[in-house]
Amino acid sequence: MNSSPPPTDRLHQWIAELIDGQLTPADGAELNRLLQADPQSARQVVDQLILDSLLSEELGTESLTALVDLAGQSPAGEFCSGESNSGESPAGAWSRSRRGIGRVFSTRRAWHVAGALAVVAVIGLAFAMGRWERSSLASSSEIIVRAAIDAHAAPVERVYVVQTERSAAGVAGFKPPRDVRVTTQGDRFFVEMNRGERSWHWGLDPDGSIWLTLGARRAIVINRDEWGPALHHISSLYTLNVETLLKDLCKNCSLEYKEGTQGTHFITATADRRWSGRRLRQATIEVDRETKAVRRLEIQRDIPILGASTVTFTLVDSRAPDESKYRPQGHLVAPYRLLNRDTRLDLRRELLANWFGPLAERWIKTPEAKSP
Amino acid sequence: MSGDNQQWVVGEIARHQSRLRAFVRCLLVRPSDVDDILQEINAVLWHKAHEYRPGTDFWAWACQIARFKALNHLRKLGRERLVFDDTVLLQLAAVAMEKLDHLEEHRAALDHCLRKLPPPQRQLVDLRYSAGQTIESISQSIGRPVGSVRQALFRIRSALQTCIERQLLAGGEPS
Repeated sequence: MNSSPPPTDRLHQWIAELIDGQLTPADGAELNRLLQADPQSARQVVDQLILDSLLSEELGTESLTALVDLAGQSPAGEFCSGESNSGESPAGAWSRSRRGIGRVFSTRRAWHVAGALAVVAVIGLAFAMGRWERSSLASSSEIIVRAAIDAHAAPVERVYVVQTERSAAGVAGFKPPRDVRVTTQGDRFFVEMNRGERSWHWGLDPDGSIWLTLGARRAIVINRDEWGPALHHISSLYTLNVETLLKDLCKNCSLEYKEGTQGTHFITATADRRWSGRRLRQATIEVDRETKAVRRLEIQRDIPILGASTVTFTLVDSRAPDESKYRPQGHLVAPYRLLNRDTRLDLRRELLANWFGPLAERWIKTPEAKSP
Repeated sequence: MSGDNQQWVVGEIARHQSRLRAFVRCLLVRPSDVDDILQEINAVLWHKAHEYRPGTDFWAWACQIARFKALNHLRKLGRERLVFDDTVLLQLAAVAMEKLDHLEEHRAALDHCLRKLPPPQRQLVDLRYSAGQTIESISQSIGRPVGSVRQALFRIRSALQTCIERQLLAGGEPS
């Protein structure tokens, strides 16, 4: 009587449980029998599993970019919580959850923002350590770091490659391939994140607008007077106005200066034990003696559950700037569209939210109502 | 294999990470195992890079190694934790390998389809995948039974799948 194929609802339930790793052995055996008999069901299972994997990758935190680990708890964390305190009152569990999503900074397209923030946080940290809490700094460290600030303000484009290693997931002798590059020049920057066949870019152009590419043919441009608080944070980080943003980080570190052996100076920042919720264990900054450029930065962190991680920023190139790359056009394929202030505000905000997560819609501030 | 070729293989490993991850996901029951096994597969691909013959299908080569590694892992788990037998696993692997050939097109279509989701569905997807919440915690936070949340997510994925297929058939560029 009961030998007919199981109803579709049952199959769907099994697939749903399989995806969540909650399929019971008895149901697993039933599903196994069904898949042997019905190849179409196997295709349905594969479709759902592939989609589950894609969604995890597109929207979630994932192992390929531990950069989010760094950005999620320090500047980005502050950045996001700052956003959620910007006056909009939360409403219900959904909005609470959505703010949570923003706090962990985990949307896939936020990677390049996260990665960029991570890079800048570290670079900023290096510079801020020379500028903040002056009395507590060894004078030699301060001189070196201040010289580095001057060096980075020169019309030279510097490219940093970002590498991340995790102790928990690491395989001896093998580094998971990733490609994150940050190019800086004075108060401008652009970030490139390549992953497989895809790449994303964002940056600050010479006119002071922040731009973010949405695929190969569109970019959103946000003028300085439109920036919400979050973009001010980002801009401050990249233009090295880091004192206010990173003072918390810096005042909780002790600094040590060492003479390097190969034309470099080393400054090591170690987090104070009393620093509750500390965001890094140690940071090492390597400054070129001759050019005073930051040659290498290494951040070591202990991440709850995930274990230790090390993020290293290595200077790989110093060159004459390619001005086109500091504008979105330099990363788009014609015909393309620039969605600037001439584009409806709500459309730009919707796109930002869709691409970068719910909080991103507030990257563009609400225009003040004009008094009559 | 020359250094250049080895470098090329490393690039290919990087380029195929998404596909490999999805492929492994199709074979492993426990989602939490996927990234660990992927790392092991990466290491094997790296060590066997010299065995890859330039000009042959890299994806097929990588899939073969990934399938072997995943099945090996499953066998180690013990019979009581196995869901599918080898016949079904090989069937799933064959289907997955074929479908994943077009993963990038699927991804682009998914971007488009996600933006079309009604807000309540998008919120559920965000809770599950962006915030990484378990079905149980979502169930608690929104006051719906676990089974109901699980089925809702299944239906959303099915709707996304339909949208993706429609989008690919239409051949339009995602907005």
